[in-house]
Amino acid sequence: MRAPATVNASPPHEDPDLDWLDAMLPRIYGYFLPRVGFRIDRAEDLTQETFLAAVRSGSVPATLNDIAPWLFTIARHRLIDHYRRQDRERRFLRQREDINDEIDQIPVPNLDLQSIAVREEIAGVLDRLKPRHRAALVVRYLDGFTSVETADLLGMSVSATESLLARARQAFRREYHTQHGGFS
Amino acid sequence: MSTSAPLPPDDRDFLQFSGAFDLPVDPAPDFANRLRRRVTSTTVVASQPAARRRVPVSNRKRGNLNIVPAPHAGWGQTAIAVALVVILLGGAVVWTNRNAKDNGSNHLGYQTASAETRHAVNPLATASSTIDADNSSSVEAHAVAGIPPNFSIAMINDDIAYGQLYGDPVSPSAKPQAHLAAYDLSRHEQLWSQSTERLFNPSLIAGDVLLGLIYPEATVDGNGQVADPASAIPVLQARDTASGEILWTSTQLPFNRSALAQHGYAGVSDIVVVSETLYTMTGDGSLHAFDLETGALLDSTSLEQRGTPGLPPIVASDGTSIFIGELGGGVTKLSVQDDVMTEQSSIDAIDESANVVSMSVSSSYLIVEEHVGLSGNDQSARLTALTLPDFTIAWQRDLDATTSERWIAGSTFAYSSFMYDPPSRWISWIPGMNEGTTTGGIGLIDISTGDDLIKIPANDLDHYTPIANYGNGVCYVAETLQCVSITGDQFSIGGIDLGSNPDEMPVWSIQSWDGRLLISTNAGMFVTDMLPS
Repeated sequence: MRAPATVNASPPHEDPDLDWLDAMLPRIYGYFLPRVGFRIDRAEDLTQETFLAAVRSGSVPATLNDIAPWLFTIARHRLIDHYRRQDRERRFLRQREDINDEIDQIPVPNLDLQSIAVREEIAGVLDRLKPRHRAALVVRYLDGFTSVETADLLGMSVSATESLLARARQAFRREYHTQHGGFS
Repeated sequence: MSTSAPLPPDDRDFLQFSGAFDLPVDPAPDFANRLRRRVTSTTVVASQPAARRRVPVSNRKRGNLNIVPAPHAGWGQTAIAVALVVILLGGAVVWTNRNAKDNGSNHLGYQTASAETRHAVNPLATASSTIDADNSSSVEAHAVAGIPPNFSIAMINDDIAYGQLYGDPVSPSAKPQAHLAAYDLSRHEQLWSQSTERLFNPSLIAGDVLLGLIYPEATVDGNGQVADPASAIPVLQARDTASGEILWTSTQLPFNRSALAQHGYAGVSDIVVVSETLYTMTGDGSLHAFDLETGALLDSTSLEQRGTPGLPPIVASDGTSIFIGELGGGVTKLSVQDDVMTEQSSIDAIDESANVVSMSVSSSYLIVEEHVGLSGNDQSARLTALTLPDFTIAWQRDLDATTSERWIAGSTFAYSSFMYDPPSRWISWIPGMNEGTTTGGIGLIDISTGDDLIKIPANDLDHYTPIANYGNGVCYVAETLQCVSITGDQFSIGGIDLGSNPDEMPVWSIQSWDGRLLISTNAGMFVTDMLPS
């Protein structure tokens, strides 16, 4: 099941103690959704895991300014764990990759990322990649971390991360061309 | 955040994605409402004065002990949270006893425990210690089938392929081979360590022989991953359990190369041993026989195509027969006598679209678990008990679709259920639905009848939860390590604080050996001792 690409404000509530939850819920859910191929069930699971882990820590920061980065850190770790689990399951089930050097050389053009359709295309391509490739691209590019920070988050050496990123970019191009016949 | 490091030529193209995928999106109202309820109930528990303190496992003192009220969400009207502190042998342990008493109303239809009980079960009965396994987070305790009940040596292998994403800081070029190590779990000492081929996969201990698969021709990329799956042709290898020395290495499994090229990987089934002969199946539907003593290939037989091409069937044995659970439905029994193999009978336990996902053998029963509709909407699961040796259906029962649907949709590989206290009982792991009305649990089934004995509430279970049984119960990892002690139809649940936030120290796997539990985390390997109830 895929989510409709709606963007909106937070829902109403009656419990003032949950102000921070209501403020952060659309942001955390909106963070997960494109990173799991717009699959509602996975995004909901990860969102719930994030909030429950947060409250179970017993140390919710006092202000929303502090809550947001804290909650996104938890969310990011949950997402990486999710990719890791997928990586394990697929470990021996990987299909042979078709090598196409021509596609590997084609740069990604400037895309209209304000377009929901384009964002869904990108998310769909990411979703088709190996989880380890997806993890690298998401952390490095969607989340905007440096290569060193990406290596730290993935628990890898920087050189291994650079190598992984290079393969992930190749895989992205190939998958995009497979699905869409080229960059729009 | 932006990068200041030199950019590879194609790196800049991708930087345009930064920030474009962070727009807030409203979730469905019912999900938001459920989440609010769960957060509210969890907050109440977390804010109580007795909420758990986290104490490093290696530095526990009596003064650090806390009584932890276990969080409870849903499960009908179940639930009494009781806290129990166990202090033994100088080791201080946070231990929650969560006895549940059900008044008969529950969502999964199980019979319930007849009375509250409390067992002095302490998975950390002696001071726990970490095994120094190269201080590498990539080291995992691998499940090895066929371990004798009193076998107190754990086989641990260091798997490069896992290590990359799981935090191995050592680059593959500097660490070209994996290692296999054996530990005496009673003394927490390493007995031996041997280099292995990459991707050594221990599969079975038969007597004093450790059998495993290696992939010597596998081409591995700079990340330690198999670059070309078609190169990963499996080879059997036998090692001496006392020393780790190689006893023999077989020739390549005669895998159908064209099938391999078509499907891109070489799936190999579990290994079984019948009368000093080793059997395994490959994903092209071939059954291979090897001499257990020498590793010589005795025979290779192409059976009728069974199941999904490329994927090997599930294979089990009771010591005299081989059972083949097919990924296309059904179970076949092959009788082996005087080096002659006879196909005795075949049972289609559900229908032709079923997938056998697990089989377990006791002296009296073969338990077969099948899933239907793995990728579709019409999903269901069924457990079948076949009596042995006559191979007739003793009972069948459909698993609860409202709970099974979730894990079938999510993963077939992570699902876990197994023989408990064979041959009398069967444990089935039921992941939670996160619906607020139905929570996860562990079901105990009478193998002779298929009836439910008890339902053990185990919130926070999901279909990825690592789980392992031990002599007196079952342990799993949710937010913390939880162990369920079972005596008759009574049980208790205890939580163990490993001393760190799960976000900081994820638990990758737990395995049990000889009444001990091995816990693989990204901070190292823990070994615990269990006390009987």
